Amino acid sequence: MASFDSEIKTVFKSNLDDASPAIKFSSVWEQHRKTAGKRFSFKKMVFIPIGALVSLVVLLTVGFSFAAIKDKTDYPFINDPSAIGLWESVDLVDQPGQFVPGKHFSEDPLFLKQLAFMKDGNMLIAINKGNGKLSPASCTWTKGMVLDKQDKTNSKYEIKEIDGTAYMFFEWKCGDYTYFHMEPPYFVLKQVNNEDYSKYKLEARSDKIDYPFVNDPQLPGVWESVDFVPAIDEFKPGTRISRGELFLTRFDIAGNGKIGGMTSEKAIPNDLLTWTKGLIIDRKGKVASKYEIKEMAGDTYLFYEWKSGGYIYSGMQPDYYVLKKVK
Amino acid sequence: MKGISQKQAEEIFRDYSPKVYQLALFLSKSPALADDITQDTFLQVFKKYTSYDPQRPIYPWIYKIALNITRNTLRRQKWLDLFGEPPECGYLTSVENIILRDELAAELWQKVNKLTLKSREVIVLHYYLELKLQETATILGIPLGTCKSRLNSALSTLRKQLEENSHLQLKKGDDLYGIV
Repeated sequence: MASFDSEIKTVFKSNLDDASPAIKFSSVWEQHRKTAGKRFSFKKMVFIPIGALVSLVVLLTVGFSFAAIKDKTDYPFINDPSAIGLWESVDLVDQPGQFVPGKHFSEDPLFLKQLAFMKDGNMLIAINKGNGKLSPASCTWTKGMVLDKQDKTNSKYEIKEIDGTAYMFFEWKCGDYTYFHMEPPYFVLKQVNNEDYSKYKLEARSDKIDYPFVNDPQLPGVWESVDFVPAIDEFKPGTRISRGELFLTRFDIAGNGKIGGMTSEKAIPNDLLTWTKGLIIDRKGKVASKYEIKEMAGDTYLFYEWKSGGYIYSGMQPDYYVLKKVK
Repeated sequence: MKGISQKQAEEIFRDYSPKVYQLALFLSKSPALADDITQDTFLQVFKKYTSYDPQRPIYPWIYKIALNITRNTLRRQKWLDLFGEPPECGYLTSVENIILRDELAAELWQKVNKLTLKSREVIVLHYYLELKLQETATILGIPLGTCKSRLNSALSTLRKQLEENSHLQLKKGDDLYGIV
């Protein structure tokens, strides 16, 4: 049976492939020639200066609104016993007032599945992707807020009791908020229990890591991160897909199988990573990440499988760091 | 900088006008609007050709222009509708006649056409124009994550509706999230 994807492609082809425009090139070209010569049209002389003036006023009013938003995230931990426990998403709303228990404001499948607030301020998260199981979250919480230091977001949460059930209204600050300054929607989560998940046993996936050292003369050197992509063929030299700060910033790869380097937060410990031909091995996390080296547009790039918590705990496919050889 | 030559323009029009028209037809559901959008798109392409970076592929640039013009046209059309001009429906009627020969495909096509404009945009760019997700995200002017989520949402809606109607027996266990 053909996959759903190919069914969609086929139905598009069968319904659109035969459609063709009635307009001819000659008429479009003729019109282009007529308009191309009009350098000083009324439209250009009147509306463009007015438009420019309005744009300038708007720009001065809103400031540099297109810069990425960076929320304050360095708050101390303050306990909130009412937040501790497991919460499960039931809806996604633009405003908390839109939520009605038992009804769904959002018609879309919910990306966020569960959140566990632990006593120490740490969190677990499950999303409706991969195996959907709880995995360690990159964010922490303090009373009234969830803080993501990597993405620099501070998302408010509020707990309300409706018809005898506790619901959490949690601001969802994704890229639309950070880069496009859109109002964040709210996930509505229903309290499943008030247990502390600090001792929760996560189901971790591990790779075979006991490989002998095989040399790869192409690998040693200094590599600097230039992008983070979902697949190797998505990378284009000179352009960047990912937004925001890259977590892994540099690899210093020695010829003896050792790897050092930097993340945006700190230096990578020298004993954490090793390599052998085709693999970079994290002995602590027990994962072996494949790497590929490619020559593109005159430069040498390293594509490194990023096996983070999403891979280890949630069964998701790894993305790739792209690093450029600088030395 | 020198503008586009007639030869270059003709080649671009020959290579891309069918797809631009098909994109506009699918989104506007009107052959007349699709013709207007195609014409306006190529007028823009020819006018702004000097700003196009020849080191990059041309199709994302053209499709982005086409999509922007389609959106503006549809926005204008909404205003016209408010003033009582009846929307054109010849496209759907003719398509329905064509696709009745395949009931299963007709059901899917009908559902695809009933998706929201945002969903249809992402579906047509990714599945019909065969753009990569990153290219689709760039053309739509949204982050990659939003693009993936929008596509997943559209697929899930389609699948749910089809399952509800029991017209298509989709493969059980298809991982719609496999694309992300």
